[in-house]
Amino acid sequence: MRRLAVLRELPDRRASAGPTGLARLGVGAAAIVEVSEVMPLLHRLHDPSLVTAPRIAGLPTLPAAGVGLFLGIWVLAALAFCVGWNTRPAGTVLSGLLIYTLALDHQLYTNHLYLMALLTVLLTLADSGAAVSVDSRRKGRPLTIPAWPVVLIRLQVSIVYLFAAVAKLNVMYLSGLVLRYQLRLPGLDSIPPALFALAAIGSVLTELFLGLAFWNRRLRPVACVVGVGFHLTILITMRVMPDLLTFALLMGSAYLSFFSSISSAPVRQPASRGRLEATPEGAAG
Amino acid sequence: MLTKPGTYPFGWQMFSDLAGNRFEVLTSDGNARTIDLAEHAVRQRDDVDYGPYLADHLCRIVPDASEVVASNLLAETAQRFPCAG
Repeated sequence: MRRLAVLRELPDRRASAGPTGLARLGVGAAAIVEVSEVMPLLHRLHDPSLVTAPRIAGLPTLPAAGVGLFLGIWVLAALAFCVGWNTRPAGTVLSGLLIYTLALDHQLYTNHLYLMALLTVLLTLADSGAAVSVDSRRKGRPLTIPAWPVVLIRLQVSIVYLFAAVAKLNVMYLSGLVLRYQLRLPGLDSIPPALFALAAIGSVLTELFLGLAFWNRRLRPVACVVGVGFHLTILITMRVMPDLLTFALLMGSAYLSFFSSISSAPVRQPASRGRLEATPEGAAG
Repeated sequence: MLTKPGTYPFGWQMFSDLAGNRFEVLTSDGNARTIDLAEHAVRQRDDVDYGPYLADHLCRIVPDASEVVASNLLAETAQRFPCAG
């Protein structure tokens, strides 16, 4: 019942702005890095010898001559979002470009691009430019922001890990074959198959742990260490770079939402510049 | 989508399965040629159902193409896409 009351009051609750500002910085940086991956793909869409797979019929395609302009706006919007200059307009433009890219062709989809779009939308709605930003230096923004987008970012972290874990509960993955195929380690052929199966089970358990542990205040620091270690291991051992680097940067940024204190009671009055009173529940989030 | 084999977009199913897709183009003289997807795709992704798009493309660019067959070796399924005309 108390949890339901918390949900009802969520639209009125406020969260501390600092961690969300840092998360915005990470997501903006990831969006800048992403340009290097998207640029050749947008050009390849205009190569008549290659197959296109439009996601939405009738969606206007990006003309070949417009790719440079499109990516130029992307970089400027991502840069402005990253440093927190006109954060909301920059975030809105960047969100639009990311969603358009996802809608353009099935082959442009990646899980990290989708995650980037979701986080950019949520950080824009969260007024993430209220801290660690040019906007906050120029305008003296409030130190608290709406709590509900912060909670949605937390939920997104859990959704990513739990879905990833459940999807791996199949014979092919648990046998270790998928890892055997995806890993790039020296002497791969000399590693016994049983070790790949053990690693597969370990990765599922790690993802299940990460999907749940961030919600527990005592386990949160452990989850951070495990999460960073998990993504570093992926970066070192797997074939697909720089996608995984962007993904790690996005997830690391999203972790920060768990360190934003949420007010224990609704704040009805207009946001003041006063500091948020963190409560045990707020800190536990 | 979690209960089906293969991977799907928007499902956070990163590296959860192997794709096992194979594409063949059949020509009017009865020959079959296996297609290397890397030569035709903007980017190879396991979560893209290339069948219908690749069929349109191959029917257009391969002389004498009569049919494109998209098989999934793991799910043991095959889809046939006859070339129009």
